[in-house]
Amino acid sequence: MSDLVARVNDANPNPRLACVLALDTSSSMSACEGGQSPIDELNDGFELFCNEISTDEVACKRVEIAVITFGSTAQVALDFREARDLQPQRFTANGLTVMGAALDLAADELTRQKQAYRSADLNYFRPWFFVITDGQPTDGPAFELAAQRICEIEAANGVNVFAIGVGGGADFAQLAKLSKVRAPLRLKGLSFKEFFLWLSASMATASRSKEPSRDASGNTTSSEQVSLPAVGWGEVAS
Amino acid sequence: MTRAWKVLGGSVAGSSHVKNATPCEDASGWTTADGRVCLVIADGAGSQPRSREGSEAAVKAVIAWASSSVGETKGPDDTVAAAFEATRRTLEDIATETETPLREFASTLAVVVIDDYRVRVGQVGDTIVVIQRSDLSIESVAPSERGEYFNETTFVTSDDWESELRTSEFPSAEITAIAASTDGLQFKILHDVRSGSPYVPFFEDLFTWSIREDASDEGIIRFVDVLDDQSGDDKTLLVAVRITPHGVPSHNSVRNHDQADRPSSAAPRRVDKASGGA
Repeated sequence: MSDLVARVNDANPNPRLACVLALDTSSSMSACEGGQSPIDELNDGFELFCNEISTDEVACKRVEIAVITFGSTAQVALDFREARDLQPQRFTANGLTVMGAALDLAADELTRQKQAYRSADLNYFRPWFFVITDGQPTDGPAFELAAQRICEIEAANGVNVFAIGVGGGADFAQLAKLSKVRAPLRLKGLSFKEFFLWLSASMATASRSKEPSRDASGNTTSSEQVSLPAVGWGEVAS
Repeated sequence: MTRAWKVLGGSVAGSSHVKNATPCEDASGWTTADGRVCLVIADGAGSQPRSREGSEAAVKAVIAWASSSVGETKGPDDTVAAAFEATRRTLEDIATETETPLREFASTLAVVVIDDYRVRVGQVGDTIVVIQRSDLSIESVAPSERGEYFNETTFVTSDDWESELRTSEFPSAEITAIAASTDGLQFKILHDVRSGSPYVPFFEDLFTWSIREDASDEGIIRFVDVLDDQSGDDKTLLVAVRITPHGVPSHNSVRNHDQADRPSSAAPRRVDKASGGA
């Protein structure tokens, strides 16, 4: 019995899965309620996420992460980088909640990244977008327009949107404006660690997933989408 | 005529599956009966709960079709599309019996039928079929068209399976070798993943080796198993090579004879490390 020896192609690049996280870093996120503050929990969770996703055999080479933070201004805190290069970083919280500006920035980043993939002839998955906030947007009209923009990108099959509210001050009515496909979720307490572990597992699953093609109007039933691990960290906000 | 073709290969669980103790969701098999060879490969959609059952049932359904449609009735039931119809009906029956939505059995599917006159291919989804012609050129057969997103494909359980079915036909005399693979190997055996063009050196080496007397299923399965595939996905590789009728050592023709006499209800071939058996 002989072994098969055959030349294989080592030059094919890995497909890319872009994921943008928009994190609320307003003052209320640093309020301590007899324990860690929300931003401390978030930072601990993000560190877990970085460690998990960077060591997943397939995801580390396919998933690309960018982080936007928003307080009184919105900025790209972490440019897109491959999961295997992701280093934990601690964010500080202070200021208002310009969620509209953050959503606009996220939409810009997603669009730019897809274009970069196309220009570099890289294959890519539909990108994911997560926004986490504990309050309501303080840039009213900008928020309305930006939320609509995100919704339109989703409707054009351009992104998977997850809106997450934390604590009693989160405005779920506003968060509901970000997606027509998925209701906003309420984080249970400050279970950021559980959320970030779930996020890593979900990205790992998504980076290996195969799903049905969608028609031109992007229609598919939600049950046909990539099935993700159970959401133990949150519940649908009613 | 079947003694003119040698078939070998199989499926292995991907590294991601082994790690998570999920079973192999690829299935493959072949049958040779009365004048023709039929290869079949199927890749269950990992996101669906019963995709392993789906791919396995699909392979069994095609083998049953291949065994039954040979003979005096070379009518409408003998088309490659009929093989897909038969698979679809089988999956629908299983879905009904188990009161499960059809989509949970989602699987891609490729069927290759070789007889004295024609080589016919049918594909639904991101399967890979590559042929070698008698001038030794290597080409892909009807690669799937890619949309914007890399991981989107059609399954035999999809509503639009029929319009997405890609069929191809070649004169048998022009073809010297055929390979069929699920997408787990795509980064290593394709030159360009988006266009589906083959990585020619791989297929040259594969077909040259496959003709050897000592080339066997195990050789292919071992190669595929240890290959760093950039995907962690299940892998399948089936090969059919034309063996020249003359000058073939008697040992080899005895092997072909055995394969021709393999029961047509041959079980799908799968090496499933999670369960430790084939």
